[in-house]
Amino acid sequence: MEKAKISPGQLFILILLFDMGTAILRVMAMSAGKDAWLAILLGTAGGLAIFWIYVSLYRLYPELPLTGYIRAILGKGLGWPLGLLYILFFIHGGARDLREGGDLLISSVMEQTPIIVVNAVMVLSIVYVLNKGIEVVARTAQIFIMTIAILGFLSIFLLLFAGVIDISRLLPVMGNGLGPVIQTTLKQTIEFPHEEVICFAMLLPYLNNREKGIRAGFAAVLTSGLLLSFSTALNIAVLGIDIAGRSTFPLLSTIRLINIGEIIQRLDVFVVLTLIVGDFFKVAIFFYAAVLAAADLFRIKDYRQLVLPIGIIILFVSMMISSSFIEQIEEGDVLLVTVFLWFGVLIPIFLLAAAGVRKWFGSRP
Amino acid sequence: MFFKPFVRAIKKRKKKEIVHELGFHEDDQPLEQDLNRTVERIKQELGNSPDVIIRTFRMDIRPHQRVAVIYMEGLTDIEKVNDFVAHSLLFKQNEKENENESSMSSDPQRIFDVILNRALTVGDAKYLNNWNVMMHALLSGDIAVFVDNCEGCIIGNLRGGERRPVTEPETEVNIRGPKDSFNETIGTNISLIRRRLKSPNLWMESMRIGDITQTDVSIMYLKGIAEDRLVEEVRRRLKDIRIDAILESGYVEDLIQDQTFTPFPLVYNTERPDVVAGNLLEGRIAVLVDGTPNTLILPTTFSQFFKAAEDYYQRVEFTVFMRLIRYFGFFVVMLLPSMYIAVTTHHHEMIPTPLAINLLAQREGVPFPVFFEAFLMEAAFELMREAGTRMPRAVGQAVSTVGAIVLGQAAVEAGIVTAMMVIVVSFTGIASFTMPGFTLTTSARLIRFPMMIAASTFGFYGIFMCTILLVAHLTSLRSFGIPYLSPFAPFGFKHQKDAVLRAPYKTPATRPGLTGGRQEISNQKDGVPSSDQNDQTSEGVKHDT
Repeated sequence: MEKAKISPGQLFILILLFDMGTAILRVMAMSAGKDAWLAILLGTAGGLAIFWIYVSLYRLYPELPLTGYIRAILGKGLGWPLGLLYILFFIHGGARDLREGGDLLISSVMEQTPIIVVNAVMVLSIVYVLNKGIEVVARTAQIFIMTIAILGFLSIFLLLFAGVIDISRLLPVMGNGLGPVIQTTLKQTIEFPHEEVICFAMLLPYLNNREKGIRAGFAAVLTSGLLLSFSTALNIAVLGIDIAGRSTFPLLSTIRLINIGEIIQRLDVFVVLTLIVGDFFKVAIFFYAAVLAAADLFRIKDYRQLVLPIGIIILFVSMMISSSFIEQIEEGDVLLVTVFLWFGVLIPIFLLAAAGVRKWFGSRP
Repeated sequence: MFFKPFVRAIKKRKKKEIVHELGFHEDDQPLEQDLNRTVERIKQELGNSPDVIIRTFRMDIRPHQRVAVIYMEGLTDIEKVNDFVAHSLLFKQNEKENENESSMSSDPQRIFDVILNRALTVGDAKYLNNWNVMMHALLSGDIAVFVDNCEGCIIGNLRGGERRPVTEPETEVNIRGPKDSFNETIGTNISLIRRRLKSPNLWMESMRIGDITQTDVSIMYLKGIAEDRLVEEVRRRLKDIRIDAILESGYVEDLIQDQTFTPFPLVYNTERPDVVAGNLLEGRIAVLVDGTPNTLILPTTFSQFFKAAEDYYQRVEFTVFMRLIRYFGFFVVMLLPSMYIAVTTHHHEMIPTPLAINLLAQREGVPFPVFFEAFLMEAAFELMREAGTRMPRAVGQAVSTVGAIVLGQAAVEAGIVTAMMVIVVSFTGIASFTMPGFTLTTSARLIRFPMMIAASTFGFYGIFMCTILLVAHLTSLRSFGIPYLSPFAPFGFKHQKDAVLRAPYKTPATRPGLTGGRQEISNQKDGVPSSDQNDQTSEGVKHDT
């Protein structure tokens, strides 16, 4: 563990960037049709519940990261292998997001660049930043969240002035009843992106102010849910459900429609910046969680030794994980309710239950 | 980091290299009693240099007593020396009172008291009995008075000689505000600051650094406003310096900065006394080095380089506007050429169609890729700038004419570069002159080239990755423990009042988070805090009535 500390505000920003990192670029919950935004809102409630699980575990073991309290709860024999699985989970998660970011970049702005080069540049940059520690990651996030916030507000205003937003595309609300919405919520929006916040179970011990930090965490999950819902609604209102559903990169298509008097147009850079920054922090957090978990399990004092090796693993896993972007997306939907569900929700619930039982027995004479 | 072993190796070598044979030793070696031997020894130690002036004579009051005055020619004020010798030492017998004469002849040591207490026309004179300190004083321009068969000597401060007068600042120009600047004499520089801060809390410490040069270095701070821990840290780092020579404050800057390998300046330097005074009031520490007008200010943050002295004298609206322009200028210097490369080589779809057609038409005859074209022009611009700085003044006209015509017009007409590229490069060049902290401009100019390479290989992706790395690097930097990017990251809402924006003086202000407890600041930033002054004057009035 480093000695660094992160403030509640920095945690808020990191979770916000992490949650929206790759999610804001795509239209989620398309199976709910026009009510995707509603499904995301409902999913946020689930996300808060999931975050509550992590927070409860954190309150029980405020000094320990995830891999630490797994061993404390389940014992070394069971906890250590499970911790090892978590390392693989983090590496896999990071690799998936790395691949997704690379694919989106290539399909949108750099058609002729090999994906391994794009991913390698990303991984090497993250290696450099992680070497400098979590404080540097958090402060860098502070700078970039300001940039993205400014670009976001600007984009919304420009979309308004461009007159491309048509609210009627969102109507009727719940035209097919509540059924599809609930189904999508359960299958997709609760899980993504909120399950992945499990990475922060590795980071919470760094908080310098526990109670404020926990509140900031909840606020971040809620805010990111609202923003995702808003951006999805915006995409559908601008593009219509057909195009938004089919597009691989709807946010880019939306922004490309801005054209005010032939002067303010082609603002693709805004989206590319959002994509790169979001992807950077998302992969960085997964990566960092993997490094911390490995350092904790293998008792390595200076986690920096592990950054480059794990970075190379993430790079190659990202190349092997699927053969195309379509396959990647297809896999994603399956993984969401299997691997991610297990590692993000079910195991933490089990851990919480086990810890509760342990405490109950422990407190009795 | 990768560099650490390397840095350590350099430091080790430096330490070994310093051989103390050349330097002055700080041991307590008393002076010779015998005048002839003293004179001989001084002559021998200074290698019989002709600029050592030794005047031996007998005093009127005690004819058999020999006295010597020794000083360095050119370092002392000759008129004052003559005055001193004539009035203090060669004074007439009849001007003396008789009682003194009798006591003096009985005790040769008493002659010191006479010279020191009654006769000396020098403001600053002291008794000394240490050979090395005496030699240092002599070489600093003091005069030494020796009396035969007496212990010790008298050191008189008659420093003078040729020095540059206080002139208008040449590098930090502004329209409104004081027009004086530091010169090469540390005493003058200190007085320029003291004149602005008439507070007993303005404290100063001096030390000598450099085994051979024995350069005077002073730390200046406002007691109670500057944090003690910070002062202690600066003092410690200055004391740790082991080097032969300090010829400019750049040496000190290099030796006390937190990190050696970074393109960003971690110590601010200025030649304006008003800037130093303003920074002292914010709790910063000034390090003055003899022999240079550039005074160091620490700790330094990134935003400091965008603040001109004038910002505090002009209207708030104007200041904020100018600061925004400067930040914009910084990004232009760093990013504009690479943005142009990225758009023209990778992202044609981002250029509006009419402009794209125009650009394509221009590029038709140009034989180079955009990156090479940009690189060529930027390199040419850097060459011209360097030539402009180094060349003798007389040929200035020729260089600028050739530069403008050949590199601008002729290159475009010959079809080597596009007119658009010339516009981009000259815009970048102009933007690089907007920053008041010149040292940060050089960082942006350096970073521009890697950015251009990144842009030509990866387009916007390369630029943004470089920017992320750059921001990460900036956030990891610290200057004397203060995060370099504060108050942006870590973000301090209270401290935004003097970062990009500048709040009017009427709003309650705070110091920029460097000081420990005392965050409140009275409403005026530069000059003496107003509340203190008012209190004093009102009290004074009460006493009078």
